[in-house]
Amino acid sequence: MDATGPNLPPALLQRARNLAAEHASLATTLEQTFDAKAAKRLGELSRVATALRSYDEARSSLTELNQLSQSTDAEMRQLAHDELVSTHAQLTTLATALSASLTPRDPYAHLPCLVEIRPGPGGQEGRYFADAVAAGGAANESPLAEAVFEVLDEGAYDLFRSEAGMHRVQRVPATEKQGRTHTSAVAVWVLPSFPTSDSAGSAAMEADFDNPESDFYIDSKEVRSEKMRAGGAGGQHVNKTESAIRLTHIPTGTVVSMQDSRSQHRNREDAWRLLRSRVAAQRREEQQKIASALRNSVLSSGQITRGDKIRTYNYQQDRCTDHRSGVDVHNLPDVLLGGETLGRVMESARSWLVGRDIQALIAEEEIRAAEGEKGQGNGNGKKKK
Amino acid sequence: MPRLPPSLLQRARSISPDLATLLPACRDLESARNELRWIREHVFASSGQSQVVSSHGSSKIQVAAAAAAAVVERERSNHAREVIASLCRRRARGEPLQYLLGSQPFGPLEIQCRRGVLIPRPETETWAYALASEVAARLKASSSASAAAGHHGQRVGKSRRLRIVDFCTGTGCIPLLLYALLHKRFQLQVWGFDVEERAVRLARENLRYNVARGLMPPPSSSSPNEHDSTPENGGDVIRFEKADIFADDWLRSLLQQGGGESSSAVDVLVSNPPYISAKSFNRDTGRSVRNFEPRLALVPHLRNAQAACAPEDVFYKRLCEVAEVLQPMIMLFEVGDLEQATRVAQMAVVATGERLKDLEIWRDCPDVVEEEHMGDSSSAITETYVEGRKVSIRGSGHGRSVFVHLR
Repeated sequence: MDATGPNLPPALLQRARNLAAEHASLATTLEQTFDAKAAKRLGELSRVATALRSYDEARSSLTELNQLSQSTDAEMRQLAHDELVSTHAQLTTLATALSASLTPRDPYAHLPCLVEIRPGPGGQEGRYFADAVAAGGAANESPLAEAVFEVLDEGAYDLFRSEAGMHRVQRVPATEKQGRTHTSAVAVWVLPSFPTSDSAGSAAMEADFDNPESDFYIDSKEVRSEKMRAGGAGGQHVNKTESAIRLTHIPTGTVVSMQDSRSQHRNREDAWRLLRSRVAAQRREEQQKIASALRNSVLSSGQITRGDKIRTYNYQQDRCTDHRSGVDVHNLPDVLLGGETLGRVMESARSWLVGRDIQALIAEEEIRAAEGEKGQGNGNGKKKK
Repeated sequence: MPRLPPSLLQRARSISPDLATLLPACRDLESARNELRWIREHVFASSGQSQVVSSHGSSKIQVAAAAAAAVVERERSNHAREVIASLCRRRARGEPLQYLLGSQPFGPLEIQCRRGVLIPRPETETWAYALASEVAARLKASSSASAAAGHHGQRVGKSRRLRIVDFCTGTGCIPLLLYALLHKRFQLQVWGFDVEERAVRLARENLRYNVARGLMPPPSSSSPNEHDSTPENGGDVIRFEKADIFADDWLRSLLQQGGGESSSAVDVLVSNPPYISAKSFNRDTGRSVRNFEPRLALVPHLRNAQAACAPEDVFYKRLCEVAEVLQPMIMLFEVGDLEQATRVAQMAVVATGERLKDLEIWRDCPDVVEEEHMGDSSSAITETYVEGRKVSIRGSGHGRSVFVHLR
């Protein structure tokens, strides 16, 4: 057993110490005068400070136990040894927690989310599978063309964002006569959803769509709105039941159409909502791309985009594999019904995502350390977002 | 109507027999799917789907109750399936969906629809929104003089009193939506008139229905006996009355009620009158319009015909006469197409003379800029000349309404 415990990269530990020091000095300042900005920063840093304290405590008891294990008293040595095992395990957990506390929180983590499900190339079979994914297994009479649903709970975006990507299915379709296994795919997009003005309890800055600084802001002049008109004279001459609306965000070419409701008013509102979320997600992706370019090629393999296959559902083998975390589970029906097994897969993907963020952070710190040797490091060099 | 390809029917049938039933009326799979979904939602919502009682304990009574509930549930869903199938069959015969489901969304409102009264159209909804923003922008400060004439001192918030009259109101959708959109800015008195008794009753019902569901705020008075609602008691008023626009009696009473305190009896005059010619009715209208909606609301009656204008334009002629008496600041008339819009614009220019401040023709979507490549070359026209006056044609789509701003 490694007597010193798990190794946290020195760059990360240094960063944690710097932030904890900033936390301590901010706390002292705030005792004298109140400053909203400082208080906010203090809140952000407390996660790191707490995690570092626990880590340090475990670390020092490990050192103590290491000394005791050298004791001449056999009983004492045995006792110390038993303790060492559990403290060691504890320290590993705490080190991960500390690393995670250092990763930037996704600015949308607290938001509800929209989930879009679309059949990928694979035709009808893909549609049946998209249906199974969306409905949790309930057989519908006709397969889905697409599904968009909203998860209203705060923090839903954080919970679901690791589900975005291509979900691949391998099975023998009901329509297959020779018993061959087909592979098809379903694209899942997870978009942050901004709170509507009337439900905006936690009106966060980035969720304010009237604010030009916000990712959700869309200049209405940049949106082309079309009603999909039927031919004919319109007005009193015809009695249309549909009022489909199509919005095009010209700068990004994003197109959204909505025809679910009999109300054109509702369709318009829903279309705007979806457009805002999509454009915000694109902007976020763009920012991530810039950030990852900074972190150089070390991490490019870990970058997920919509096109990547993230999970396979194999019916013949009753197996579901997450390709990022490498986790394999069986009991596919429970996965598709959204049971505990699906929870395990999703959890593994979330941990993978955190692990990836930690990797990114380490790389970033190493780059900064290298640069800091050349010229003095510019302190808190992290840009917002 | 072109025949539907058998393959399409077959596809619909393989998905659901109800879908195949709807297909001839809806013409394509996508709209048939939508309509089937709306019919289902309607039936399930009105049958009040209950949850099956789950039996927690194992007592015989509870188990029996659960079994009984399951039977009730099964019967109810069988019943629902039959109701859905029968609604689909009626729809297939051309009956408008809005009559079958009993309503049509209109802005934030839920307008009740019934045989004998014209169903609100999305084009009408669109111009009502555009009109509300024009009214808010144009009548903000300009005519505070007429408001101050009646009562001195500014009221907090809703400073200006605004009177709106709608002719041929039908379901009452236009006055109700204008009320919902403008009540925060103005103290409103809104009248809706229709010659058809059934329409007046339905419009009153729509007021009650939408207020009861919280879709619009309640006016302080809606009964015809409470016309003494004064600015001092802060009352918004909405009233629906039976009146023949070609008669004069109602006009006198309107002048008595509304006039007295300012030069004009009303501020905004709107109308979506019957505007289809007899020929166009047979040629251009949809089957469900022709067979199920009231002809009275679509084609002007011959008894009102006059030599001075085309039979389908008589209502506009009369509306211009009425406008001379009521002296509105803003008028908007819905029309059938660009040619009719131009004729109506001409009538309005002649009738209003010196008072005319601004006149525009609006297309279906007045706030959407038309793109060049839409194929239809006539929609590229953005202005025309009426009586030597340049008139701009705003937005995209068919010519849909004539907007007039007066001094």
